[in-house]
Amino acid sequence: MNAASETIYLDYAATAPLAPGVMEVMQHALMATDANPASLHGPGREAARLIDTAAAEVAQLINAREKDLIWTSGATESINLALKGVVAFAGTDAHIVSVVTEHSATLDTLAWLEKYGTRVTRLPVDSDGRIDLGDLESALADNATLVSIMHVNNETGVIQDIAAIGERCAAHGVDLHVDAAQSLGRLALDVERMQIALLSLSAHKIGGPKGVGALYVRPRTGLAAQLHGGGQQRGLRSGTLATHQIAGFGAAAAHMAAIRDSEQKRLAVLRDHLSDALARADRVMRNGGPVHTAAPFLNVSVAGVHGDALLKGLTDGAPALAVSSGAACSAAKGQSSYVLRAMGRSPREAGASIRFSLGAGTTAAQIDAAADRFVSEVSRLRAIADAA
Amino acid sequence: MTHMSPVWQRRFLAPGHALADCAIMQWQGQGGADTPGADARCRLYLAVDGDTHEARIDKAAFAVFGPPVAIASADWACEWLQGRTIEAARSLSSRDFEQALCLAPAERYAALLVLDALADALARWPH
Repeated sequence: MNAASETIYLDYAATAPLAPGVMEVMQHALMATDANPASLHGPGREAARLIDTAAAEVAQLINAREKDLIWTSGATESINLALKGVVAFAGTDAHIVSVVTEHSATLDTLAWLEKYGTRVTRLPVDSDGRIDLGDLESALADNATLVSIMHVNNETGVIQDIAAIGERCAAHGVDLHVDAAQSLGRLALDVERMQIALLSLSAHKIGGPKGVGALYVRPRTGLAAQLHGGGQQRGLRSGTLATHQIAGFGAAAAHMAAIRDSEQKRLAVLRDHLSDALARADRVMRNGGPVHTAAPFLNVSVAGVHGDALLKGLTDGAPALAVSSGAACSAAKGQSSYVLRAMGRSPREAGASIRFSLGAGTTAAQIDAAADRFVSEVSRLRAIADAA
Repeated sequence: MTHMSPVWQRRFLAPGHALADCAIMQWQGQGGADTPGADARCRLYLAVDGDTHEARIDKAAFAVFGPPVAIASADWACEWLQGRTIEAARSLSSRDFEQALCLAPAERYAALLVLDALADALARWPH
């Protein structure tokens, strides 16, 4: 419960509060070292040491080498660098294979690349939100340059089988880029075992600061820089490093590494309890099968209520729930969730959908209160709509 | 993101004229409308005292499937209609909604939805 506003925060997929110890590490970085980490003098080396520590902490979480990380401003920049960088390196014959349910950071970048001649294949998903590996095989055989796919979907929490996808990419000699913004710290990530060439990461989803992320780049991956200047980070991303931001990212990664397994088990129990409790409202459909959904996520479609009214009722009523919708908008205006539409939901089902995402501060009491609030609001809105 | 004014918020979160909360079983007039994409539907219910154009609306209630602005608009209209004559009800305009609820241009369709439902109810009123 947020003490200031009495809001029950269940929007950890949007962003997570700072993890324990992160603020202190960032304050230390700001106060103790104000030098440029690229400088060769003592204070500069001290700043560089903080960055090295963070690199080790983040790299440990994905089983990578520290020196293969490129710091960025967040996952969006990482994705842009990965996609545009691969195409710029490969030339105009590039063919990128992706999925219809990707985050807009990927979809919009691909649309931009397409305008300049890049060929893009967007794979469909089944009703559980997963791709068919046979479809992937076909696309790989069509002179693919890169496969770009998100590990955990940001709306539904649906998990793609990255190990199996990586195996197929490797068999075809095609590089794999994974958007891990929602899976870092939640699922086991191993760039070696999963045969990942590029991995986009975000700090603030795991309790780090906003405004910092990273791109893992496997050695000898063809990638052209998109930001030019001082030649920092092996020339792949110029610009002075934000020492305190990166230090905070590292601290959050270290915290996540320590608690991940037990915390995800705890959240899965709470999520399933929430799912059962929401079913009291009747005609509530879970989006994404429970087996292949990351522990903190629960996305539901609700029949008989308008999506915009439901979201506003939950977020502005009392107690307020901080939840999200794939589409806080009108179903019939073509603005309903493209992710849920791709999974076969109707415009109205996709419009009246709510995403609950749990995190470190979520308690059983909050889940009970949120479920009661949800059932009550659905009942209220259905009563208002009943005779319309 | 739609801005929700305080007037809006109160009416959406706690409407005073939802049909579901009314004890009245007999309505002398009712009518409905929906938006072109059927994204929102509104039905108004009128309890009228008298059978001429001077008859007064004792009570009005609504049912809405739609976004918050449609629910708030319908609730405001019901409050406005109570105690007014049928003739006065015919004079209600979208401008009245805009002023009372501070509707943004993108929200004016909600006023039209409710006005269409009212026009339908008045057209069906047997007198």
